[in-house]
Amino acid sequence: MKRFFLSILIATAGFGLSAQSAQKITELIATEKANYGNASWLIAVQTNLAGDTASDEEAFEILVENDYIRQKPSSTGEKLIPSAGDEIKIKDFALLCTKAYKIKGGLLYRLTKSPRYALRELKAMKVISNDAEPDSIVSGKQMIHILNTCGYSMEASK
Amino acid sequence: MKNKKLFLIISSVFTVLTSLHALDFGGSIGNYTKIGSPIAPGNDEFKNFSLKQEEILTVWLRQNINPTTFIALEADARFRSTRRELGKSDTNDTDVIIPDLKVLRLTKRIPLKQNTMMFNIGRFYFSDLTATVLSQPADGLNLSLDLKSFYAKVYANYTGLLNAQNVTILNKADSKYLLDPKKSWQCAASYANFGAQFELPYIFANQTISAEFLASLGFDGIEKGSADYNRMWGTLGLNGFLHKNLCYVLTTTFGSQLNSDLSNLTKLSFMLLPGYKSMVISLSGIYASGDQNGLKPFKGFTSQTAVNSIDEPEYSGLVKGGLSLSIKPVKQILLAASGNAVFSYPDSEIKYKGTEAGVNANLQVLSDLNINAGISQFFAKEANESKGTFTLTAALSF
Repeated sequence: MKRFFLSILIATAGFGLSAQSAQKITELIATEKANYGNASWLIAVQTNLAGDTASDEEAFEILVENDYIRQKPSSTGEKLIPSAGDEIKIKDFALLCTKAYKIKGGLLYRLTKSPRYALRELKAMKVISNDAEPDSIVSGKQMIHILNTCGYSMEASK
Repeated sequence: MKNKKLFLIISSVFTVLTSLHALDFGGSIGNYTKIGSPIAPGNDEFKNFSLKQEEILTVWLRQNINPTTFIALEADARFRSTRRELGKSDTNDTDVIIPDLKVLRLTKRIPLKQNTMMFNIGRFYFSDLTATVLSQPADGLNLSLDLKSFYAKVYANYTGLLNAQNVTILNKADSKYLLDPKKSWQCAASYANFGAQFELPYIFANQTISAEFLASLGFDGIEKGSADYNRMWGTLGLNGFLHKNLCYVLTTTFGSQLNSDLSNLTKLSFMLLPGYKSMVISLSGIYASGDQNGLKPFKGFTSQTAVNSIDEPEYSGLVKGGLSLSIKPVKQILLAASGNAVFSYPDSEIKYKGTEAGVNANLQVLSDLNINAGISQFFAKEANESKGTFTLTAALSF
């Protein structure tokens, strides 16, 4: 718990947040089921692909343009998925993190670049608990914690 | 017909599991190679070396039922080849596929305010405080209660359905149980074990006191040869820190076959943790009683090799002590080296038998690819009793 609050604190400081963005982090912490827009905002700000004043939708578009997120037609062909409003699974958020921090990963991650092996990589790095279910929807708190722990881990391994 | 039923049951279980949302699965493919110096001494040509080779496929599943309950499964199949001498065929050589179910466990965590109660049922790994008496999978259950200042665990298990190709249980000397190494599956000897473990963590000056009682009742199951072989063990343990980077573990176990005999196994280890590249320096000693000082030869439950010599003795009638060191020079590599003096102590006379030395390197090439290589050599006092082995394992997780 201490570690979690510390990561929130460091996240807030690390993001160098404006009042508007501090409000955004507060909202994220309260988000039980995060969506691609929420995740995109965190990743885009962390990687400096977007400023912290960007909206979730803008951040999502930036990640799609930068090949962090690959959209494909839905089964009915009416829209592209995922969209910014779709809930994001922990394995898909793990893939965004491995891309954001350019984590090379294990042999199977290198071969497949799939969410399954991205999650495995973050479990091996002890960033995500081994108990985490790949298909569970990630919460806002979890996203901030994962992103920051990933950051410490990568710094420590340099 | 039987096979069809089994197939239907397995497919239904798998279908139910995969249709559930919270399923995680994975596995690994691996290799194990062990080359040993010639069994018949005096001829060190490579063609006379022995070989044990295994290719192993492991799969695992984990199904979360709710936040406090899950089912875990781990099964493997290994293609095992053994050659007594590489250069010629022998009737004892084997090439056999060995399937095994290592884990099929339901775990339930019961939160009790600040404390935790855990319940496990199914097939899973059991170990006693010493990890020398009992150390193997078995079918059973355990219930543990962690009150922070007091820890207790009770367990019961049955061994008669295990695959004896992967676990060896020590039977009485005249047991009729015989393992056929050419079979894919042979049930292990039938024993019912009952144990209770207690611990008082950091009860005084950072020291932890523990105690365990284990009873084993033998009877004829699918395999015969263990009837009426009843044993019990009582263990006392003490461990803790003597200094901020020096800790120790002491255990002493008294065993009995319920016919007024008493045996003893005592283990003491000191571990120095200098705080440099995960270095651990250990000084350890083991005494396993023989027929001396009113004691009888010690005998555990799970077979374990005490010394990597030609005769590969169990923990019985011996004294062994030495140093070991491990270090992680870089994150991906763990190096270890050890040296032990070995004495046989079958009766009132203690005799120097030889020195065992080994080095091991573990390389985590990538997060899912591991390679481990080790060399060990037993330098025997008596001529022709020395033995060397080289082991290599590699595993890729998927």
